[in-house]
Amino acid sequence: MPTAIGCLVAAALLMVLAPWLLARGNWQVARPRLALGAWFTALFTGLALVAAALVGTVLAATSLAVAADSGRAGGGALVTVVAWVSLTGAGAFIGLVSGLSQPLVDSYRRSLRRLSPVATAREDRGAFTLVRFNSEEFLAVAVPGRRPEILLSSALEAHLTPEQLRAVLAHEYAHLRHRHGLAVRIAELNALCLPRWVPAGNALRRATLLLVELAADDVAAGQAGARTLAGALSRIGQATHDPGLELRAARLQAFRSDATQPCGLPLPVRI
Amino acid sequence: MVALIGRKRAPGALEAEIMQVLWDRAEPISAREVQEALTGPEPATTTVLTVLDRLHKKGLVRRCGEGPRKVRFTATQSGEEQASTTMLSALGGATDREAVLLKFAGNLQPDDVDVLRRALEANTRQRG
Repeated sequence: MPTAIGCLVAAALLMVLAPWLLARGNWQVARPRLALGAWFTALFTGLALVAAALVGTVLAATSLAVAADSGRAGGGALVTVVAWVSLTGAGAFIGLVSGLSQPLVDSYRRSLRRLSPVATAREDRGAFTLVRFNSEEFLAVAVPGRRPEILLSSALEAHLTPEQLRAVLAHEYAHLRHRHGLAVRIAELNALCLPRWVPAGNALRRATLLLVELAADDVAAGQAGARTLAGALSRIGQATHDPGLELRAARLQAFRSDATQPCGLPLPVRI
Repeated sequence: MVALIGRKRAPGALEAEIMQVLWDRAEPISAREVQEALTGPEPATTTVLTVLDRLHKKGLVRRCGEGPRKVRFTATQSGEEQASTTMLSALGGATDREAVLLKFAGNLQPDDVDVLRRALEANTRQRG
């Protein structure tokens, strides 16, 4: 029983301290993949501690019940009640997760259903399908799943050089290869499950959305060259007046150097 | 395209199906004709009328006809026009209750921009 309480206290401390610690300093901007790993390690450690507390409570209740049956111990009613309450809580948590995940999935499907009628060309590139569509917006979107897709707007294709376009595709392909979609969905679900007054939920969601973009930038910069990707970001940033894109370009130039030669684009991205 | 869960439609699926039926027809059609053109589990006529009324209030459907029993329905926009509009609204940004798409541009919030700016300034100070 003391072990179970210790696990719960450790989980609560982790939920409070991890966002505070991980958001300190600027290291996550320089090392986004490491930071993403640290955030999700904290999340899964917290979940494991809660699960361990649950299992510990149930085991303590069972052993006390066995001891009471054989006349070696009396009482244990409190532990049994706590075990049942824990199991009920676990059931409610599973129900909450499954109840909240469906609206998220529906929301995602709605967005994708809206996209498909305006596709102008679909090209099978092995690892993903490249879907071109007419739009005046500068859009490139990675759609993970069993049949992954990268959606590319006509405006983006017209506005960038072929090298820059390949760098953008390498960025989107990095999202698919490194399962960034799954990370975002887990962070969104975590934020929905926790009450709004608990900052850990929104902190993980925000950090994930930023870090997956920076991590994909780093992968694409390594493949297509930091200068090329920074050029693409800067060009779209100037056209859309989005300061975030200009800063992502500046980050690539500040934290990565083109002294290291790009390692070359993956085959599906070479167009 | 139509999301069905068992015999029940997913939320919003009947609206999407009815819009598809209207986009497929060049001429205005009655609620009964809409009902007959739907695939999958057939909804009641009153359900179809309720959904058509909801779509009318959203400005997606126009009603025409002389009397209440002869009222016919047509889509206000073509399928392509509507798809463009909804696509752009879908990609324009999501609230914290909606699933986020992995877009190349536009996913960063003002707070994220501040985090990036601070990190770059600190890096410049360290180098300088």
